[in-house]
Amino acid sequence: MAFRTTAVALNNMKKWAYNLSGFNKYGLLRDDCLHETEDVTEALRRLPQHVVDERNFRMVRAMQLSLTKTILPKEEWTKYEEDQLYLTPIVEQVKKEREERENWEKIY
Amino acid sequence: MASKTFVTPLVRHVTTRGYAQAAPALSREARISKTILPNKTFVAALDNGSPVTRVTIAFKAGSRYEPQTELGLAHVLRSAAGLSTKNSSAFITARKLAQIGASVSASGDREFVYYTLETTNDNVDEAVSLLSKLVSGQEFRAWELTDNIPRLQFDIAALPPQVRAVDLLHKAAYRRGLGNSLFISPKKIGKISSESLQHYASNLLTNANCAVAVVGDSQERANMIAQNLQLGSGNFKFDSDTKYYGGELRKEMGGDLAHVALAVQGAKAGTPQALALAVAAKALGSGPVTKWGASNSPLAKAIGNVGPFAAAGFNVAYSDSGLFGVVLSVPKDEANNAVKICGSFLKKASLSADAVKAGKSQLKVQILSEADSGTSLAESLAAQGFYTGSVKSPSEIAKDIDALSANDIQSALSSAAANKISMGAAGNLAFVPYVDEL
Repeated sequence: MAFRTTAVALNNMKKWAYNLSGFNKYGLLRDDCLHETEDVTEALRRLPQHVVDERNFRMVRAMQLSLTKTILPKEEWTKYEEDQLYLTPIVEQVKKEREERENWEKIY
Repeated sequence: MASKTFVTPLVRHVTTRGYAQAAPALSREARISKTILPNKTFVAALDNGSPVTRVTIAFKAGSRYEPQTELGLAHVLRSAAGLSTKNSSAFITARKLAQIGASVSASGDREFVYYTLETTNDNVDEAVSLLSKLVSGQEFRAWELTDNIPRLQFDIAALPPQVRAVDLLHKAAYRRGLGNSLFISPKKIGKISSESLQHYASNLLTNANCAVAVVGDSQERANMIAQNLQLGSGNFKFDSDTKYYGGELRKEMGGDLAHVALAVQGAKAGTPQALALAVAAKALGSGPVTKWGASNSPLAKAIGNVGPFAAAGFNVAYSDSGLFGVVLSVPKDEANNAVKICGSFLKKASLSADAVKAGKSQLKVQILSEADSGTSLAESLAAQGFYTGSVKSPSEIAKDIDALSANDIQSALSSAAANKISMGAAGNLAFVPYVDEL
């Protein structure tokens, strides 16, 4: 019971922080806000083209909204539950590959 | 001091002489053996005491198994060798192989794909585990396939026109199946998806479709390599009877030369007829034997002095059919006459006793010297396993060639000549006759 309560509380807190951060009001996803390091650029290259197109659309829309100092109507905000991590797993993989390469180059 | 400098080279001389005398102990009779594992993988080994071990893992996954909607799969498959698999990344496979001085190559023909490893004896264990990681669990990640596109484009751009002529010949002769091109069409490059490759690989890269051949190590080692492969166990049945249709395909490419491949239906691999036709192909000629020399073959003599040209007999055998004929490269203005002469050779189907004798010797030399470079030997052992379910050492094949009588060769030739002639032509075809004009 205690565990469940903790989990629910944790989830609520995550949701609260998610809504507080505000990017969802521009219709962005978490992975749209990743800082574009080399790993992220490489991961983007590996995505199917339509996913990249959707990402670009969200970003352009967000910039447009920011310029006009508006946000989306509330029903179009990204919901915490619908925010799928489409990029992070690939970034992790890229990072693993880079570390493998760096480790090899350290030894040989 | 002076005496010391004098002594050292002498000692060295003695030691080197000693080693040199020990060497002959290595050369022993090569033992050839084969077995079929419970999971239906064919395994063969030729233990010839070579310091380099060659391992070939072959699959029945050549271009003849491509569906008509996805032509070019086999080419992409063999050029995707070495990309990341389930078990290891492309980077680490390449570096580890390089670190132990091993090399892996992927090659293929119309029926099979071969992954061949070459390594020194002391590194076999590690190299084999890398090879098996490279072959099994291939993932064909989409972005790696995209990165691989320039390699495919290079393959296509580097194709000699003679190869195109032979490719067109197959297409004309068989239309589908064996007629599928070995190479992806330029318009399909980048259009073969990762999913269709995975489907193709999971159907065809299976235990039952696999043969492992080892040259330079024992049968036990070969069995172990085959057992450790993590392959699918699917049993994909490919049911299409190869039919020889016969026809002609021409590709006008310009230039000064015409490249023509003419053929009739030959014999299945592993039959005595196929060997007889291989002798006949050699007897027709295979270019001059001395540099800048004149060719003394029947074909070359019949074509005569028409400027620089090359004409060679040509024989290929597949599991259910074969082609026998001539490949010719000739200046465009002389093409009409030269192609007609080659056509008449195929129709006439007779060879002088001297030509047959020369053909036998040439074929023996070719087979035995190819066997000396172990890579092609390992691949040919695997192919033999697929064709006949057993293996013959090169010297046994040489004995079979000796045993062929002139009559065998004549009858193989005349039964081949009864078929319709097919033709594939590439280059400047201005004066190349059509097949019904031969």
